[in-house]
Amino acid sequence: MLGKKIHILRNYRALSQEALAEKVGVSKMAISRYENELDIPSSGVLVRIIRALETSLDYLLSEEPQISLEFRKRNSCTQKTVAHLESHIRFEINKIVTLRKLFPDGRFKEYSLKVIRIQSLEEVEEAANKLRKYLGMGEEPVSNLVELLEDNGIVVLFLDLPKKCDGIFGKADDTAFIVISNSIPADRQRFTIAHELGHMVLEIKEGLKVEDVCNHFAGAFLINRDHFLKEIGIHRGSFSLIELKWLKRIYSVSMASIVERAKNLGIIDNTTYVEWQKIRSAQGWRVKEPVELPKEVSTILERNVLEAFIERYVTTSQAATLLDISVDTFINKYLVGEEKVIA
Amino acid sequence: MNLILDTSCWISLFRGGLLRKLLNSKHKFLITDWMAEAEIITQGLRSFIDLNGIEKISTESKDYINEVKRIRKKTKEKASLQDCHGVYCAKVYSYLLVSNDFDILGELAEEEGIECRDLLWLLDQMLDDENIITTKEYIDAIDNILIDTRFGQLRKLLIQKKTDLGNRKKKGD
Repeated sequence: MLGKKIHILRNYRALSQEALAEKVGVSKMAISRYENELDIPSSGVLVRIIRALETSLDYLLSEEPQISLEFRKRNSCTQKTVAHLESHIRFEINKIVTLRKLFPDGRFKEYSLKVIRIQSLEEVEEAANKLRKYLGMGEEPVSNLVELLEDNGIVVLFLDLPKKCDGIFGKADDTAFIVISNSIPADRQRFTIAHELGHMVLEIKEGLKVEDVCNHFAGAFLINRDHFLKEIGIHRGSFSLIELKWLKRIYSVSMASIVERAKNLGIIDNTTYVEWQKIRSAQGWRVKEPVELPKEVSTILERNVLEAFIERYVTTSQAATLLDISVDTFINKYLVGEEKVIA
Repeated sequence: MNLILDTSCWISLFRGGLLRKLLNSKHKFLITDWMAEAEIITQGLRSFIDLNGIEKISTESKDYINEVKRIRKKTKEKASLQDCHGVYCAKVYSYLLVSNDFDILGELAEEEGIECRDLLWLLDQMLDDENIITTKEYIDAIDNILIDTRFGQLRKLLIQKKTDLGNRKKKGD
């Protein structure tokens, strides 16, 4: 396991065996032997490997949970990128899964969303409403999507994903998770989270375009039909920019998603939709829309670590390691500063 | 005596401003290379270790990683790998383990047949046996150490110790 991880990380850092050997101060043969599990590095050499690969002892020596990943990747996403990404995600997910094992059974709500079968695109609307009902939501817009999912046993992580990848979902042991790119705007992040949620809960009939169904689902989940109709009416010939900005703030989705939803619900006709697309391109809104929404954040790791710390499930140094900060920073932030966790 | 301190203990001594005093001690202080180099320790502590030649110990045996992992498993993953490496070294080299997380590592040390003491034992040694710190320095150190000590036995013991030392000071002892 240690050798395999060294191998994966060396590739991730784009280092040859020779380059790593030079950084660590051992022979190329030694690196090869470590990677092939024919030898193990001494504790001192291991420290230098950790430094050279910019990783942590915990990651290199941890047992990895069984993680299944489903990528929403574009065709141009290379195998190498996928391998790097997997390694990064496994590292982050591993932290939460390992941490949660220290808590008493039943402390965290397990993922329990039931699969909804989709035979046609028309059924997506009902599926979104069904899920909303199951999650105890009404027609109102989702104010905090990350919190909603985390309360229902889905871990949401924001990571630096390659440009070619917006979102990923998967399962690690019993923990369901969605990983979202840090670098995309807040509205796209929310839409992607809802899209990945669609991948998780929908069982889509063969022949239907899975990505289209999940996009449709994301729109229906984030913008409830009845609520939307009350806001903008049953038929519209056009929208003003002010109204689109206002709707964007209400639903926390992009203006493009709002117009798309209006088209899908038959509120606007195809001519209006095409006209909107032209304006969108001409104004440069495909790249950047007016109104920047605040990004949602995931605090799950921080909250879990602090709870584990207070309950003495982890030591100070272990808590700092999990949060990827020094003990000094941990103490100054949580034990001395304004956010101190001990009264 | 050769003493190997856990990470938290090193940090407490650093926060308590007592690191320099250690250099006057009759004891030899050791730190594992995992503890010394790890990102988790503070920059100030790392500089002190480097500048003052606190001896770093390394392990090379074929099964040391499995042994450290086994030890950690016994703490139900509550202790860091660095601290478990310290426990492993204490066992292999027959060093005395000094731990701040006595309720996790102390119990483990006992199971592993390692002699283990807590931070108060070390501070008492420095005050009473070696006279390398004063009562005031001890009390001040406790104040600083308490900042990062959670609820639990050690916190109670430190507070009690501070009261005892205060009374002792009043009596002019």
